[in-house]
Amino acid sequence: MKAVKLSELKGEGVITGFTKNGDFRRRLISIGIYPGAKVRVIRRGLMGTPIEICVGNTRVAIREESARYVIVSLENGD
Amino acid sequence: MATERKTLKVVFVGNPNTGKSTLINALAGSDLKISNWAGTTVEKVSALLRYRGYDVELVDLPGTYDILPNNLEEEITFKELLSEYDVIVNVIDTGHLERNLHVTLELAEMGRPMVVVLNMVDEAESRGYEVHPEVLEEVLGVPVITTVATKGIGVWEIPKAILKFAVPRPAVVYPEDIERAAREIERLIKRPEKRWMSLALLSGEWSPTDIPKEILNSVKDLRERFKGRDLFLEIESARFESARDIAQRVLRRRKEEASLDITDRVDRFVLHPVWGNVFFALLTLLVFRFTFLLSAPWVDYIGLVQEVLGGWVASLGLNPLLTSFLVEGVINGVGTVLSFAPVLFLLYLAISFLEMSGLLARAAFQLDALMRFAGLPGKAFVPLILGFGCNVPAVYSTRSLENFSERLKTALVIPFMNCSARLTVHVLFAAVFFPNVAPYMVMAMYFIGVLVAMLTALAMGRVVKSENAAVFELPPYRIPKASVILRQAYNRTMGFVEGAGGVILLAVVLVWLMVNFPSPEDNFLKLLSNWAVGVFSLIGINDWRLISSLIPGFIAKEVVIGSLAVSYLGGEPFQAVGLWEGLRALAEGFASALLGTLKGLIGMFWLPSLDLSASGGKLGEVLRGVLTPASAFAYMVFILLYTPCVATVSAIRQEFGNRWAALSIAYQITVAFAVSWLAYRLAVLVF
Repeated sequence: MKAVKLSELKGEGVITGFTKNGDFRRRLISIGIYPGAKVRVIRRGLMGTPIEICVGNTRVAIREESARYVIVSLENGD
Repeated sequence: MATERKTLKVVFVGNPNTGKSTLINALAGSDLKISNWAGTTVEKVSALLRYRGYDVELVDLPGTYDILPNNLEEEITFKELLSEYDVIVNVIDTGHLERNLHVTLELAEMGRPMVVVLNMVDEAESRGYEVHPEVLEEVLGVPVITTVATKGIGVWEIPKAILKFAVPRPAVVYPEDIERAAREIERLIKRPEKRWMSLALLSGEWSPTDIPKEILNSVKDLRERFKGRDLFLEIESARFESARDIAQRVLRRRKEEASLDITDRVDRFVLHPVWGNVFFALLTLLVFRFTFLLSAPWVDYIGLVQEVLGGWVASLGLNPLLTSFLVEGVINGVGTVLSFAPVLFLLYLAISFLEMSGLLARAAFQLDALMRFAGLPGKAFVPLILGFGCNVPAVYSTRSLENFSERLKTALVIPFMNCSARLTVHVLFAAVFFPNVAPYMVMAMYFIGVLVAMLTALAMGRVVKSENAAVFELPPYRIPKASVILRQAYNRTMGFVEGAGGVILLAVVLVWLMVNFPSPEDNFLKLLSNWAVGVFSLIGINDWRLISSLIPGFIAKEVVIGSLAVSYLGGEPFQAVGLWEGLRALAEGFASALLGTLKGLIGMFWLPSLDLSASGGKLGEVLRGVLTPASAFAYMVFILLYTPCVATVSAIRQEFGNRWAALSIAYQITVAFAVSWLAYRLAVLVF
């Protein structure tokens, strides 16, 4: 399985981890961005940020620079 | 039988936007009590419900995604959860069961009696799900109720369930070694929340200061055993696993979900890079038209009430100084406080609607890139846009931001957003000095304000760096309930009147003293202004009267015009008003205010006219004599940027303390001088 940053994701993947800890990570987890969750990119804002994603069945907007610290694995390995 | 009534305290907890307030509203009707949380100014809404011999206090806690707090509002919820109460009511948005259950499972570890409410079941059902509350009941061992709060369906099952006092059983299965370690810590804690606490301590993300040292030491020892493992992540993952598993059993899919729900379809338009932005620009315009067209008749009416009351006082024939104190000090002061209320109420009404409907989060999405450029969090756009209407609610609305430095940064930038009070001064000066390009001059003021705000935010961003995760939820669209919005707007408005009223009143009385002592002819205001002429002449302002009007302008910036009129044209003597005459004026004024509101309701959908051809009348003529266009421009810029009004300062003080309020005043005066000097120098070259 190939892993990418959430900021580079197109389509779907599964969240596998974070590269930044502390309050940053806790905040993401509490809103539903946690390891094991399926994530789908829906759209991006005008300047490529924020990124609208769907985790669980919740829609969340995340800034590009925050998404860089979230690691996602691509399910089909492409 | 004893007639003694027993009291119960019940706290409503859950994710944001799950309908807690709507439920409490439905249960308690009009029996709501509004106060502040201890030590903060975040509004606390509680209601009294009389039920079967019990006086049940229902407390609406701020929405939370997590028990461990991430922001000020979540902190309040956390503190309340560890305090004294009898039952937790956990409200869940059934359509988003999985994420909501995460909080539920944590609450189940708090060891307090609990009731779970699956709210908005109709939404989940219409999306093709079958809801099985009995599964959750079985898992947790507490009553689980299904409701549709907006329609009042099922709400009366809640008090019935509360009286069962059932304590939930923890339902999360943790890795065995973590479970064993948690139990070891549990044994040392003598509180009902011991299970939740031991897991929070073990995770390493919670470091309370009021926990005995021996417990902290054994936590440290235990964590040593897990060296190299990420306990927090393991604990959270276990919770999400359980939540997912339970959610799948409670919500069963009956039929395939429609490929696109309403939210998806609306978002295609509202989040569109072009049409979405056009939509929000028009919506913002509509919100301001709504606020100001509908509030203007009532602000005028409050002015009329002041006049009539003043007239009655004048007709009593008291000592002139006492009359002046009562009319210009007391009545004027209370009137100033109250005249904010209609504007705030309507603005809050609009904001509550946008917030609860889900539109506000979309606007944050569209403006996020701009906010990022200024080094502010996306959500900060709400306070900034509100600032164009009135800085006061804007400062309070910073509470929804994640951390102190982000809140502070936003609050210190807000006063540069050109509020509607300053607009009145700008319109007059633009009409008098730049009759041909008046609308553009007014617009220029907005741009200068935004520019200074952005630069300020950027500069502060260099000082306080934010390391926070920039995320927010885009909730599904919903049509909010009118009674809930009205109640919320009323609560917030009263919060302002109670919180800032005293300071404003004090400032009005202080200005009255400055105007009347030592003597009305040679008063403190004149002395102070004459002394300041030296500085102001740098920006082309040489007349003390222009400067003296800035001080009353500190109370509310629109006062500058009235104050200029008095100092150039002389004040009107108090008109005595008879009792009947006054009552008739009040009645007529009320009727015309009602009529004005109706006109405004229709008029707000028209585009505003950009016709600013007013000549400014007699005052305009006088002003043309004492100011050049260049110095008038500098004066406009100064009005835009100098200290926020006393109500705004008082809001900053309430939220951030004396030190920051003082700093805000000092910073703004400095910026106002610097920028208006620059504006004057440039204007001299151009005009």
